[in-house]
Amino acid sequence: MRRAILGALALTALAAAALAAVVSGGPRPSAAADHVDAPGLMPPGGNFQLDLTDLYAWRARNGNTVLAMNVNGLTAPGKRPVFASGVPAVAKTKGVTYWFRVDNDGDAVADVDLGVTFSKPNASGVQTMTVTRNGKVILTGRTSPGRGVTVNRQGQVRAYAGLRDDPFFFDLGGFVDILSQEAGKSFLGCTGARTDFFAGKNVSAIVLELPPSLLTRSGSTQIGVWGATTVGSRQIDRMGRPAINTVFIPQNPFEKTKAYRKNQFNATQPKNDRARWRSEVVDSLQVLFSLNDASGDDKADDAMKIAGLADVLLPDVLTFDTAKSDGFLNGRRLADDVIDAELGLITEGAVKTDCVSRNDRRFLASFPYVAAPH
Amino acid sequence: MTRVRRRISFGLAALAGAVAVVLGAAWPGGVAPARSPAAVDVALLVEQLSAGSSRSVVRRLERAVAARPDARSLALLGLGYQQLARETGDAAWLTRAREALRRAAHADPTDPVAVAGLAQLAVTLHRFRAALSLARRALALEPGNALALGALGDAQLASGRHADAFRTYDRLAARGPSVGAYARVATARRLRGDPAGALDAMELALEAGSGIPEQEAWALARYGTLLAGRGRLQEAERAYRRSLELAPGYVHGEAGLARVAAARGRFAEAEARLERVVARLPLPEYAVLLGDIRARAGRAREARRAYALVSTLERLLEANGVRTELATALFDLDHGVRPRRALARARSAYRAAPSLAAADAVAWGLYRTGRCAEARTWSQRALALGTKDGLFLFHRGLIERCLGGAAAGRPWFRRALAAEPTFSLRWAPLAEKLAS
Repeated sequence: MRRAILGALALTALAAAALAAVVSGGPRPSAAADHVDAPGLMPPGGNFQLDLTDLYAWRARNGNTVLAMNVNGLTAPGKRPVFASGVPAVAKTKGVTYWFRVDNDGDAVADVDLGVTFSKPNASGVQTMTVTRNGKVILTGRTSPGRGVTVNRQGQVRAYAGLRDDPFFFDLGGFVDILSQEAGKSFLGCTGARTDFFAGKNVSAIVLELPPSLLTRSGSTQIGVWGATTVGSRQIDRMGRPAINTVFIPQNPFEKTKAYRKNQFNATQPKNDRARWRSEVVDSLQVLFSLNDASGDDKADDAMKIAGLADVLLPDVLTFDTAKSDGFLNGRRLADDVIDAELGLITEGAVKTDCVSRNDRRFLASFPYVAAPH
Repeated sequence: MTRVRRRISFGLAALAGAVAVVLGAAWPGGVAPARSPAAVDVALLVEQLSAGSSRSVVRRLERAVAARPDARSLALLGLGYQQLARETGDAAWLTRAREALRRAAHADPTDPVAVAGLAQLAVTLHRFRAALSLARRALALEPGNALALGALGDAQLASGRHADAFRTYDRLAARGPSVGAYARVATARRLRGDPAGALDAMELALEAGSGIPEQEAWALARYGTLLAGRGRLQEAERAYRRSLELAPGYVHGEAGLARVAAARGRFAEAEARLERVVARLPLPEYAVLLGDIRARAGRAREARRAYALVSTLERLLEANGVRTELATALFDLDHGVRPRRALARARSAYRAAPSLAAADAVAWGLYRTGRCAEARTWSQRALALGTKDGLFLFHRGLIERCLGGAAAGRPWFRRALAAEPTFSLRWAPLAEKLAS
């Protein structure tokens, strides 16, 4: 960028540029580089590729079951994130799997594991995807990194993975400030429409549609579903119903001083939820139930209600009767206002809405259902 | 529901800290998430550098410092300057980075961003001992700080503490995907004699992306160089071209294309490209390569001009605080300039930072001064991890040939060429001759 010219001044400039060159590093022509020139500035941690934002389960028109999970939350329009294929350590790379775990006998232990794995992206960003059911490959296909949709089919199974509009809608800012007294910050008591934090943002969606018989056990139409991501054998994230970890596990807006335990929650299994996390859920519910004390709520039955509710919320599994009409709390459709439904439940009806009631984009009538990306 | 905070931060500075607390993001490695404003501030900086021009980001940071010259604002400005130095090659930014970071650390010696920034700077200056202690201090202030982990691993690697460095890189990579983390894993794998694994890690680094265009261009150029080393010139060329598409005029992409051209015997093209590189970013090793290409084309006088530039550049680097003994020693040994002095410099470099490369330089110096038996011991040290480095293996070949005759050297030359068929414009032809 600077051409060397004669004179002391030029030499200084040259020295400066050479010094910068050391900083800028870059691949060494010789292998004998004595230090690494990799960039120092890195994101502070966290893995949005493995971070589940939402999980859905509903009935397709033909009676099949649709399962959907989203990752790469809050992707800005124009960005083309990919699904993780692996996480490298010096010794070896560990494979990444995106899981739909399905319990069909009510013990919160998976009976059907649907695993989705991805290859590295090719030059145009397309990845191959492989879907397994209990370890056996049931479908292979390709991802849809842009606006175009590739529907992968094998028998009665359909699969899509790619960039979509984030179907979730919620006034997150109003939740963060939920206990704020400042006018307009909290959504408590809102009457007019508030801001959908997730409007205009994209996610990477994995959508599977399959006959319920691949999920249920004979004689039953009921399942419990949760999503999980793993690196090798290590579980990085998991979720069933919306916002359980967000709302109930510290720290949260009601328990700002408690130790951070969201990581531990993400690493544990639903079958242990009641033993490990019930007391945290109860603590949060006590705060939430007190929201209506001033307005004359009879507190006498709070403890009993809280206990009952804690046992509904845990284990964190999205329960779904594949033969019944769908909609939260029976599964979860894309359009369900799950936040309003949960708010009513967990505040004894004191809070009914965040005043955000629909997604910013219309959902598709057919597979893959989730709206096109921004 | 869990949602990553990282992407939320942009344009929502006021919310960022609170959001970080609320969202149960997936934090591999069990790292406590960004409750600390330090990580939130760095996240914001990364996000801003991804979204806009680095210059305007830095201007904003300068205004923030002017309004309130506290430690954190100064430290972030220091990091911004470091990024500009990477991007533009204009070291006015680097000098400013050093100033800003020192002022930051002076204002608050417990600010992890300031201390980690200084650690990174120490690595850049090849002050590895200082880098080690600064990085450790930063990590004590903020466990898991990415900048500090990167600097710590780099300094450990350069100090010959490979097992420690690999553990540090593993910790870094487990925190989450990034070009900076995965590229370091690639380097570690290369040193362990796992070139295929190094390529795999670089591919994952590219997959992880960075958001910061310069970092992605860097990663593509680095990937190209790993491919070129393996003789996969066509793929290497593609990677370098993609790097240039991302960052037009990017010197490391351009230098890569020059290497590919030279490896294909297209010396005129290689020379033209390198002249552009050297005019823009006078890095000594690119000047060396330019000289070597001219020498190879039989133009000794012009080659000498490029070499003369090398020593000027290295002296100037030294004047600016960078330790250059190792590079100087290697250059002198390669070009037959006062080998005894070069050997002394190599030893001094090894004392300062006992890296594999420094051990190889000592071996090479001992060989060039006729002490082949001692040279073998040092070469063994350089190759202790099984590194498949063409140059290291070539040096060993010459040493074995010196000790045991042509037949003793041959397998080493073959190994060098098998590992990296185009390892050196200067030495690969000799290796080919001695291998057969």
